[in-house]
Amino acid sequence: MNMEAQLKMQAYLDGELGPSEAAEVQRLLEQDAQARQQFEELRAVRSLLRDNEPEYRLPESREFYWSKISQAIARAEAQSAPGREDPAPAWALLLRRWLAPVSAMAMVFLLALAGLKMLSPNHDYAMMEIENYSEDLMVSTFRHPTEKVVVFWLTPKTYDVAAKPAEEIEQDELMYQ
Amino acid sequence: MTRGAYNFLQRLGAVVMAATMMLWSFGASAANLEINLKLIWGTNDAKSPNPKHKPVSPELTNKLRKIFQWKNYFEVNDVTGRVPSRQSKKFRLSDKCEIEITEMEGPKVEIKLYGEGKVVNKITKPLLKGESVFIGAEDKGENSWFIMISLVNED
Repeated sequence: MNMEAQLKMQAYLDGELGPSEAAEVQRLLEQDAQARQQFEELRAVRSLLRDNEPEYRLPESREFYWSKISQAIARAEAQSAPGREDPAPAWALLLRRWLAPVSAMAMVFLLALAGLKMLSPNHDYAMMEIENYSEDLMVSTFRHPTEKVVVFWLTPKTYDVAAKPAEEIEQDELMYQ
Repeated sequence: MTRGAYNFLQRLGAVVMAATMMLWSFGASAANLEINLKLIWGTNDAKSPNPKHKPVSPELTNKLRKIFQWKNYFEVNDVTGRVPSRQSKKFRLSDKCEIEITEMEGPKVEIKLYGEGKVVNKITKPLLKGESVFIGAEDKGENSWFIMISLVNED
């Protein structure tokens, strides 16, 4: 018996054949003892399976069970979708969207500016203020590059800087204001 | 802008704002200052005219020789005192010379030089630990006087 005949016999047993094909299988079973034996085996197996298969019943209806799964999927999708999870008011969203990046850029710029100013060799001078209350004196300022010293030197206004010998004033260490 | 870049900028903004607030609060923080002031006499003479003046330490002499032109340096007075936060304190260094120091926001100090009771000048600047501020002038002859102001400690 070929495979096609066996499959038709199985289908006949399951009631899946049309009238003409069912008649054809019936004829085969009447004429062929081997086919009849195999058909009986199939019927016995089917009966065993049907009688002994454990039956599980859902505690809820099929529709309700699937609707719960469907709702769980919808909730999970809503949580992962961008922009749906945030119940914050519109002004807060706008603030978070623009204020944070803009303030970040502004602060980076200000910090860079402050860093450049701090690294500037004349930083101390930029932070320094001198007020002279004397009509007779003037104030010169210089900073020694290695000794960490800032000097404020008072000289009479009549004092002639040019008259001093060059070796007494090292010009590269002297910054007049 | 991608969501990743947007999140990165948001975090960067938060970090930078926090850092700026910390820096600002650090910069604006008040402190009590312990200040040392020395009135020094600079001369080319081997001895000071006043026998009470003692030579400054060899280390300070070497430092001063790198900055000024005089050979020898004598200590006229040495005063250390505390300047409370946001307050002023006057230090008397000689009969004619006084210094008033005010701790200010910044952090900065305001240094007022008084000569014979009158304000001669006012300097406002940050005073850093390890740095010294000198206020001085030439005196009669080849001599000079100057006040060395140093931050000893702050808390």
